[in-house]
Amino acid sequence: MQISFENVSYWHARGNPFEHRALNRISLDIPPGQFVAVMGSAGSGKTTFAQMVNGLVFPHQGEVKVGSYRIIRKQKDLHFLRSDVGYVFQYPEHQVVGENVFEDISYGLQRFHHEEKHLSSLVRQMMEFVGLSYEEIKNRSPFRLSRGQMRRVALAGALITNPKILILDEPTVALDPKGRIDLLSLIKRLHEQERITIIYITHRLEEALEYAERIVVLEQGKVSADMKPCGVLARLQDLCRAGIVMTPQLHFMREANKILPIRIPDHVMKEQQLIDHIINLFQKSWEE
Amino acid sequence: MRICCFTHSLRLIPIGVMLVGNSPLKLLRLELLGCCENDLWEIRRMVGIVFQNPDLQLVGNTIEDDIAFSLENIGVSPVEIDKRLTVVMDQFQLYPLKNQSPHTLSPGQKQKLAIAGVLAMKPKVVIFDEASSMQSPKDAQELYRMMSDLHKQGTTIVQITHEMEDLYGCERIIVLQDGMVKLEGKPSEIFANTSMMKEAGLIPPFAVRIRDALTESGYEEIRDAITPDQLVKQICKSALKT
Repeated sequence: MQISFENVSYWHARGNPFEHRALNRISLDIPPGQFVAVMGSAGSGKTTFAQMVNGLVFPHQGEVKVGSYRIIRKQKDLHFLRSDVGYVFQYPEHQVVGENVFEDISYGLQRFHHEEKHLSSLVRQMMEFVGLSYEEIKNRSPFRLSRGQMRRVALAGALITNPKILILDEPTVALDPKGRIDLLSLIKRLHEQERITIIYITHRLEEALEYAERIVVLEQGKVSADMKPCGVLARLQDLCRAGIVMTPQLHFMREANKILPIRIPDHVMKEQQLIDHIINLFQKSWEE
Repeated sequence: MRICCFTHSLRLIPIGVMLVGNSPLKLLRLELLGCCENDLWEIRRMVGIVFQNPDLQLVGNTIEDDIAFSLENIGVSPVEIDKRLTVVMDQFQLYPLKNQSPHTLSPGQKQKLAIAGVLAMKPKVVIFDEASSMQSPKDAQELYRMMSDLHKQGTTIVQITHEMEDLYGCERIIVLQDGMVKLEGKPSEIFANTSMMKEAGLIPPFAVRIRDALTESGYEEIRDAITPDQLVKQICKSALKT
């Protein structure tokens, strides 16, 4: 599903003294199957942007189209849109609703009246995909799970309607390093195998560089940079201004390029590429 | 002294919320604070703790009340409370928000408020329990700067974290696994051999990861690099030398 934003503006609490412009004339297209990282400091409009894709908020100006759906308040079939667009909130505890894990994961399918047997096989499949044991966990209360597990439940719940677009709002916040890598590789697998469009909101530049195909930086509701990961080094100033902190790898590359005989090219963004590049460098200098 | 540790059970010991048996930690606690088990009030006055989830420690109706709460509790005079309030609210940019309810704040701001409340008590030891986990990287950097300022003023900082990039600044690292001390030492000692760290489910910081990958491929000469800057220097040295 193609996502297109055309000149979109949105105000929080519009018409009220606390009115605040969250999105300011945003225009951008996301083709099907792209992995887009959306970055920016707190209050830059990342979440509003993502919520609009799911029809949770509606543009005050401009037009948003997701596949064949227009995101306007009067649109009747938005619940179909929402089954095509999965959403995992920043705090999984905000979206966990069921009395037990099974109920929670299957909640999104309730209005589609699936047969019980079909439903349980779907839930089992989803739980296995996100790495939860069906037998062990399905009857437990989702509120008694750990953060990492709750996030997995939320992800399974978002995936059960077989969405074509998945939005993740800082899914790795407050996870431990292992949990973070597990979750990210799961998302990567989804993207690669199912070709789902991923809209990934994050504060962490290293995650965006390692996984995304495109990085969109928002600053005060405007798109201040829209680039491939390899374009990041050239636009560090824009990123700093938007409140994004440099990664140790970028710091390393910048320093290394000042003194190394052979420059590390800008497209080296993944850790493994960097390692290969340095090894290559060593070998070259030995041959000489 | 600034200590970093990776744990969930150690954190409560120093303020006497959780009492441990005949463990060295108990001795450490008593030595550190110079008081006995019955002095829990005294201990809590001296040791501030910033919880992982700030919602757990915000109590006031307004931000001002929230910070004043702990000060009233330990019997600080109203004049002094006013003074300390101004200082910490300024320090954390909370002054413009002082009449708002804590629950209207963003998670990052809540955490700032929780820290302000703890620091207003002027504790001798401050425990940060993953206090940066809900902050944006930029706010987290600010928090680390503040920790190191506090440390320079003589406060003991115990930072509970799994953010490995933050460890360079601390003096001592304690790695816990299954309730036991698995590793302990200076950052340079801990990062020298990462296999134990990995066993404890931790991922070394960037520069150490790169170093490990390179030494595994046979480039032993960069063995001593721990920080990104050292790594650059070592790589350049060996690439230019040969």
